[in-house]
Amino acid sequence: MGDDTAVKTRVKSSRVKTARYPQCTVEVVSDSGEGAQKCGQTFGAVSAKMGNGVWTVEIIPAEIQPPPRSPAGASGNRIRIGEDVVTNWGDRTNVAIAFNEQVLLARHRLNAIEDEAILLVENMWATHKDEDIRAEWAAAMEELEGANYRIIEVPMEEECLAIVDNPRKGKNMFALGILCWMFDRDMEVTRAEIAHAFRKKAAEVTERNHELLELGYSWADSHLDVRIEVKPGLSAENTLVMNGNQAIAYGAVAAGMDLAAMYPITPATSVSHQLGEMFHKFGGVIHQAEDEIAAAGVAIGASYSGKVAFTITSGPGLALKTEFLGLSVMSEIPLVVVDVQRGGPSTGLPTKVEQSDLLAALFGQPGDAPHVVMAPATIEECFHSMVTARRIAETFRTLVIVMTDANLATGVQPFPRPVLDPAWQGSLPDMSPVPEGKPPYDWDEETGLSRRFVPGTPGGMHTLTGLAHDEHSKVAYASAVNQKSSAMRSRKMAVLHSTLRPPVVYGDEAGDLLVVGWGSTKGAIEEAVDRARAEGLTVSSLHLRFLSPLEPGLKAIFGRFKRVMTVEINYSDDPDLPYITEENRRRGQLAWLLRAQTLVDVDCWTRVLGEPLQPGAIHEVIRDHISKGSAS
Amino acid sequence: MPSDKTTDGRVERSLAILEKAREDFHSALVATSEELRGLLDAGSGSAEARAERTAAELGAFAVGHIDVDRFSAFEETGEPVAVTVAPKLEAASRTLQSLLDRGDDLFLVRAEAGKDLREVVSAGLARAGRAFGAARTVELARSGRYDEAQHGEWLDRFPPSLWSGRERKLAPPIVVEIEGTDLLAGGLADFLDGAQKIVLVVRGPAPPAELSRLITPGLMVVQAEDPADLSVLAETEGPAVAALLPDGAARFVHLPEDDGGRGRLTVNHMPEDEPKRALGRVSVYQQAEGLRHLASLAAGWGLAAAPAAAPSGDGAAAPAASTAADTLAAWILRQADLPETG
Repeated sequence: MGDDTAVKTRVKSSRVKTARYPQCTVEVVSDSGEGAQKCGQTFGAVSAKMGNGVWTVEIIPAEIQPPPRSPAGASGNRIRIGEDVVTNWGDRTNVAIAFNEQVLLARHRLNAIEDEAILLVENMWATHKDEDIRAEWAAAMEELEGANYRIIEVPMEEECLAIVDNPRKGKNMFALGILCWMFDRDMEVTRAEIAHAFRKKAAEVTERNHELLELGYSWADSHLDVRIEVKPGLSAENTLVMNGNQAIAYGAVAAGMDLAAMYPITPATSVSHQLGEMFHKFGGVIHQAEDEIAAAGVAIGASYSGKVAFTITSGPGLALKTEFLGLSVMSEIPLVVVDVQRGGPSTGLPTKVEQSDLLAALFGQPGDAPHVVMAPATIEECFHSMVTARRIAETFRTLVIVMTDANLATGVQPFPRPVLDPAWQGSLPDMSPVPEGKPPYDWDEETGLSRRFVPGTPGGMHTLTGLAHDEHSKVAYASAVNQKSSAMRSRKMAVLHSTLRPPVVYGDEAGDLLVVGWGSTKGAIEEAVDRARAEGLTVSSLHLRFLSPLEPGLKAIFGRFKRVMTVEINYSDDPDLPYITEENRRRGQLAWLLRAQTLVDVDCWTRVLGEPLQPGAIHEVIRDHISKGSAS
Repeated sequence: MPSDKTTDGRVERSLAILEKAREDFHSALVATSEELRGLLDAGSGSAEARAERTAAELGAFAVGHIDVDRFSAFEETGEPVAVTVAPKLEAASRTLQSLLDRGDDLFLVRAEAGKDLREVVSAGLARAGRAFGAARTVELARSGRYDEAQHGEWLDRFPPSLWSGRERKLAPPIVVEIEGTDLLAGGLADFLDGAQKIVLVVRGPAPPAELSRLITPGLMVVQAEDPADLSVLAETEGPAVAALLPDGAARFVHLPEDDGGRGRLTVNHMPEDEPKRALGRVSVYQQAEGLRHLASLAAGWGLAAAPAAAPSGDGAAAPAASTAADTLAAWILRQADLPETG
């Protein structure tokens, strides 16, 4: 895209060229606190409302307040827009707008920028009074000019000073104006979006931001010579635009949840922020507990009393909740837990994406604690998964862990407005009098299911315990009792498994390679598969929503492909690394699970770069695996 | 004040302004009704009907991933509804359906001339409140705690005095068409709680500032001539009362307290002429007092004159205490945090 020539000064051309693309990726980057994220989010929302496919990803520094003008401090948003549905963040950026050259340099060094990309960068640093800053600018520009970019310097601060005293608070809307001109965004929609974003502030704030938007637009109109057309090809009617955490919150409301108990943890906290804005209007209560453990306890207590309760957390919080999750399983109290995964063990990478909690979610509870683990693959599925999770938890009187990740949590995507169904709100707990002699764990010998006794039910009084217990909920250490109750709790998973359908293969039912994924990687995997199939490669993919119990028929499906591999955002050893052997190689977490469950030699390709996977990278891996298969 | 004996579409416009509150109540009504139908059908319905309901309850995420026919076979259908309980549940279901059948009419009361406003509003709310009564009846019947003597009237009338805090948050909004001579605001205070919204569409001459008597920190109070001025009602989540009065009455908006704990009163119009004749039961003196009260609130006089003797501490303001014993009693009442009745 664009000219080969690096332009060091303002462009002024009498002729504006418009280039049309089926999709384009834009980044807005700045230091923390300069509003690049709001600029990017607004651009994404406006594009979605105009009928473009959109996927946004937040670029978040690891630290809350990193040093200004440092490559590690790059903060902002990547917005991929398309004529059609966009399912992932793509490969590299085509257009970037940066508030300083250091954050732009960071993106360049991460290989995040496409060849021939158009880069618009604030140029106040070139003439800054601080000699060191001028030197940094010069060095950065030299490095950037070594690549094949078109660099356009923009006097953001100088222009914004005409409207605001502190341009740090205004550049983002000026940048948004530039993007609106370049991509011919509807300014009425943009103004409305800005007004919505600042709805809780004084009217003058919105007015000021509107002025900055217009200023950026008119500056671009006077100085830029290239516009990009990504034709809106979708209907924007009856469409919602939100991120995965918002979708979880709205899904919880739609599912008739009564209580959300949580303790703040990145990147899950914004679920509670969203709930905090509207949960009470639907009779819901959000409880911020004193810690993660208490949050799980409160949710279990509420559920025990007949309410519909869930708790929200991320990996470190899931670890802390472990004992209480076991109580939910042992006492058969329905509970939904949302795990918004982040990177690393311990506190790890709070703001970065990873899918490393899978095995902990599956097996993290000491003792045998069979429960359900499911994973939405899109932002739309984040919404709907809450309805299903509630129903499964109540039907099977068990724990359901819903696993999303930071990619889904902060990514924004439009999706069809759900047609709300009152049935999602479920039924009232059965409080009809308990027949004489019926015990609280009246397990059906075949299914392990039993009626849920809610406090207040006539004839249903019993002692609740997390200790081994018999049908009457009496603590019992007799050898046969634990064997039976364990079998009953486990049987429920087999019964649920019997209701699951085999997953649908994306692509042909047989071939050289089957790529298996779970969670947020669906869009990137399927785009990579499409690219590979367009080259004539016989590759298909499969995306799992239920990890426990696993969806049925996997062994049969795997058997129709020469090779099977998982693609995941967690760590695995590269087989070519020192000391790594077939025997000691640590594999991707889903690969591990699939190998154990199917006895198929499932390979894996995984990365923990702290960012979503790129379809281009997966495409390369597919090519590589198929060529290896041909050679062997 | 010129005479105006019609409502000129003001009723319809008032109902439109209350659309969100009406929809919230209506949605709850639909959900409760369907839940009850599901309960009555459970166990007795066909396998197809159960599967259909299960499919709906599992939602879109299950589509393609769960075999709902199989899943529904494992759904707990509950104990069969006892023969003695079923008629009561059926009656509750009929009550809910009859409320749904009324449509917008459920939220409208046309008061005959001479009727007591408090009684009119109470009856209207008790009628819509049957939805709450029906839900409570179901809960009690299913758990074997239903007592005909105590709960038998709930499907016929369920007045606001019996509503719980949560029900008050979901209170049905109500538009009351009333003669100006019947406009006595004092009795309305009993209903202004939770999210209750009451709009009075007044016909004919009316006391000029009657609603000023209801101004309290947490309550939205509006007197207007143009229904468009009632749009603020849609913005508050708390209780609100408004009156659409003929030309010449005082027009004002009192917004509930903000974070700083102060309400905001804006008086858009004060009548120039003093009231000259009694209107219904409201004397000339009382009408003038209404106007003086409004003027004093607008001038900040009321705040400055707040009783200084009120004891300090958290909680709602207590009556001014004149003796040590009264002071102690008032303090205890505030601290007691007595549970809601009903």
